[in-house]
Amino acid sequence: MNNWVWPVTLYLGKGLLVTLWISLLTVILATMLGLLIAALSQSTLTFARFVGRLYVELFRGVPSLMILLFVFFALPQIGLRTGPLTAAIIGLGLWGGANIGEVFRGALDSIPHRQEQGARALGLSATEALVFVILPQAFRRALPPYVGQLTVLVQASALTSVVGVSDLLGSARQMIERLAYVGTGDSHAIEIYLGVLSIFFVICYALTGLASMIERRLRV
Amino acid sequence: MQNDLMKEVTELLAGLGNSLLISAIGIALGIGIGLVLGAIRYARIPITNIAIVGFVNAFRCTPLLVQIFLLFYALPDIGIRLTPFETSWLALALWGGAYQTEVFRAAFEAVPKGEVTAARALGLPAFQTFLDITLPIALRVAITGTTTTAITQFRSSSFMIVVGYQELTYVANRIVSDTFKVFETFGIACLMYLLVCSILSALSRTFERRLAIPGLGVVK
Repeated sequence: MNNWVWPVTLYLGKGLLVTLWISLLTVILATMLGLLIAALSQSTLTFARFVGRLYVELFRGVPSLMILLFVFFALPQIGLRTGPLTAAIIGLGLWGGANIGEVFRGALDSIPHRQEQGARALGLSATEALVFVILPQAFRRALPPYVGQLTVLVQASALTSVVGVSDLLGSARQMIERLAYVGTGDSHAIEIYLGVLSIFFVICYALTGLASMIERRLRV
Repeated sequence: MQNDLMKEVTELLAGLGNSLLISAIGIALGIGIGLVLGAIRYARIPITNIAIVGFVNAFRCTPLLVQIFLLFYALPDIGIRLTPFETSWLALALWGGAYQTEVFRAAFEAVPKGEVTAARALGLPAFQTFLDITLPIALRVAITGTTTTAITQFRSSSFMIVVGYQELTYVANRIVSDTFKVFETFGIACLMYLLVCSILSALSRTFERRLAIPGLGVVK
């Protein structure tokens, strides 16, 4: 009867691992970029601030999928032969970096200026004021929206299937096509896509819950 | 050479037109859904509340791309066949509606309680208080959030490439596959997305300023 369920589940499991792997690498890349952008926004150099701002405006005004396709097609043209997986991770990381950079910048900007002035008046150096006074507070402000951005990146990982990566959605598509050609010809598309939706839902709902828990715990 | 570029720009413009069409329908329906469901949430009607929270979470915690696949490739299994155009605006409307519901719920809750109490004390019936006091203030509060969601919906219209709807990203992708002119084509397409996004956020700022009620503190 339901002899299709087990093989499909196994295959989707592999896809889920790919999705989690993509999400992890994207998050790492986007976080590093985000830190860099936030640092640029705090610079005393007008040019550095401008570069950071330009990056954020450009990458947040363009669809994530467009950036992904751009990177996917552009990398081979500049002589870098990478697989679709690498291209997808770079594309999503570049896009996520702009979003996460905005989160970090917002958190830094939300700390009142008098905090720094107070710290300096007490005799802390500029670096000490940043490390011991500004950053601990900014960290608390940034953490909940940062976790929120993680759910955005996990959801965006599904876009990699468009360039042919066998992530959760990609492997679901392959399974549905295969099921449509073998056996009874029934693709079971509804069950499989609902399954994929549920897996994403569980991951993202858990992350959302985590974000609001952190928000409650870290409230000063 | 020059003619080639003109031809491409014309094709991209046609794609942009299609993107704008599905976005406009999706955004309008999304605002409608969000306004109604947000108002019902604000009214705290027990059973509908759970249903609406379920709808909002289901659409916000799963990737739009998977929702599109479900609508377009799975629904035919139970006899519902949607054209790429119908799928496109419907997916944008449902997904945006879930986000707009939260925007409007928050906007309704942000209306100062004193305003409502004062209106009721002056003898206005509950429903008229809602129409004449709560709604006009809430709509002004909601402008920023609504625009953010609307812009995201417009950018997400690029996902409709997967159902073969001829929107901007689809057209750009096709031109790149044919001509390998990656940088010009995607560059122009990105500029078009950026332009529309900046026009939308400029419009939102104008609205916010024009509609501000002096002394009500809704607009900074």
